Amino acid sequence: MHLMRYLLRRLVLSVFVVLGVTLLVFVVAQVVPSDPAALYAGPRPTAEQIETARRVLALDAPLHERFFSFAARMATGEFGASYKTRRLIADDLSVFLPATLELAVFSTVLALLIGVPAGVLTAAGRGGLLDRLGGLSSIAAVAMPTFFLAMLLQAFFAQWLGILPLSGRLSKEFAVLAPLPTVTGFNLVDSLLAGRPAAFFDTVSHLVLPALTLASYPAGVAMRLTRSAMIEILQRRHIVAARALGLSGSRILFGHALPNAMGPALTVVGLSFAYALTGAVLVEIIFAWPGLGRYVSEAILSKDFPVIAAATLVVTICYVAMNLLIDLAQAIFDPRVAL
Amino acid sequence: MPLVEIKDLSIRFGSLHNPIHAVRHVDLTIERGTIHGLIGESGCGKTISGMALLGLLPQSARVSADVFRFDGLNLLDVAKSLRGRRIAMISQDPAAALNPVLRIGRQMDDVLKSHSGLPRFQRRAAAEELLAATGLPDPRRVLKSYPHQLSGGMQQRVVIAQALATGADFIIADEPTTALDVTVGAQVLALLKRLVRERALTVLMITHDMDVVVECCDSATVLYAGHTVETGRTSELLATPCHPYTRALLAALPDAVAKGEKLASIEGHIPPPFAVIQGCAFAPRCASALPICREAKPPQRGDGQHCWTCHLEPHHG
Repeated sequence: MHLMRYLLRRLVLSVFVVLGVTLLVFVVAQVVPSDPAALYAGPRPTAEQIETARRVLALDAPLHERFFSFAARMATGEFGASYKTRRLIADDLSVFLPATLELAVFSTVLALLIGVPAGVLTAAGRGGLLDRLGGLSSIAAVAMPTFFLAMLLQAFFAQWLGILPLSGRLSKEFAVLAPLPTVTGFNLVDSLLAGRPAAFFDTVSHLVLPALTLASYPAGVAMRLTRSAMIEILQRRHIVAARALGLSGSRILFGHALPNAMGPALTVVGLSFAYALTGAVLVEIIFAWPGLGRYVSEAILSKDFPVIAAATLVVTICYVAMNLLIDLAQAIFDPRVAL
Repeated sequence: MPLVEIKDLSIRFGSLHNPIHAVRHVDLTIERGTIHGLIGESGCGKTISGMALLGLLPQSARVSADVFRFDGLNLLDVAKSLRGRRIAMISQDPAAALNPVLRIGRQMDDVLKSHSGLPRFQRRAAAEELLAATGLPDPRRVLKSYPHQLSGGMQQRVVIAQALATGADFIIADEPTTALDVTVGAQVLALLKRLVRERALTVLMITHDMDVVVECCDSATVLYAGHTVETGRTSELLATPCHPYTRALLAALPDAVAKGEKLASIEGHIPPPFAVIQGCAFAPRCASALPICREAKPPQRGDGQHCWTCHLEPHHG
């Protein structure tokens, strides 16, 4: 009841956020010093070709009419075609977005699974050897440039040990020779749906290195935040009371203290998930990952405006959804959070 | 044999050269099946003595005692293993003592899981039974609630039920009524009295409120600045208080004062824990102090039942 009302309110608010972003994207496009008609007309266009493009793109219409038709197209998912490649943007997104989401989700889960327990353990052994080692590794994880970490991981796991693939999203035999049927676009899901465990494990092995690279920063931050939250909470009276009741140390740490300390880590990991949607360009390039970041950055460089607009909108929606998810997770961990 | 027997307990923090004396000289004897009060003003070492019984002192604490026994076992060796098995605690502020983000059911179950060895469904029934035993109506709903959904009195009953769930026979109640309304506090005291009778428990009631001692304790020990100054049966303490501090505490009870008269108070402050105490710790505040009180440690007087440490002859002044 309560939850449904909250969800409804958040969804309504989200509509306004998305509308605002649409307006912003439109305005920015008008301000940017480039002529979409010239871009659309192709390389070295004649004045005549540019005029034609202007008519095709309806650039002569008044500003508000153009905004409304733009907003309407965005709302219905008709993103149109790229100026540069002439490919349908919706088709491109249906390939790149799942690839990026898959990587972002996988790395977020990794960041939580590494950062949070590490924070708990270093808080429990505060001042000891484990704590000092943990502090050192969390600084390293946060400070290490992603491209450098990516290359280190590739050198170690792919080149030297040879147990993980160097790059790409799927091995050749699954990508080309016997491609997976595309149902959701998420290879993890599609391979399971198709009942092909070999393809599933191949997907996972391709995910590990780029996901680890992306998880390094949020895991380091989550560890520090969890550690300091745990240190504060371990001194609270209900923890002393739990000790007095004779509960075991691990039960107190993970069962009683940790649920109180999840908030900061959830927030930071959620934010880094949103960042990974478009900000993981370097990682995508190094691991030859067909992701959204690379797609958008190429579009930005060539001022391929419809692509930028569509990607911005899609990312906004993912971002808003993620924020909602984090807030719900906070409420699950702490019932006192007012929804 | 008494359940708890402590002689000359001292608890010190800090270095040898800059010692901080939390507890200087505490004697405490608690008979089985009784409620024993431990009374004194803040900073006199009540709570920390209780923590020592639980083995929950910080590692920096230096504990020494001539005798520190629980049921014949030396607590200096085994405190950790008795905690939650034979000794449980009810703490001052029930709202703070319960984990705010876990349901009561989960918190009860954790205790039962650690101590009872019952399978899950039996633990649930046991939890309901314990909550009912503390007088909570509708235990089933309480189990599904979070602490902030309960009133202070209900929370304290849950804390008591948790202490019972450990199966401990000795409960340290650290000011269990301080955070509660007077009427709710009285109910909680009545509940503890009933549980002691029904379940053969022994309770150490830590309090700064003489009323609580009068209300529910069979016997009591009065602490001042980390020293045991007087101990005896409640009736004896009330009828013939022998230490000036005990007398001052009793005089400060609102009932002891006629209507319209000013409430008695004790002038001055408790000596700080880093102070070096030559003679009697209470001498600077004592109305009937003699010169010797400031110079020599007071002798122990009285018999095994009722004893006090004072230079003055009983009923002097």
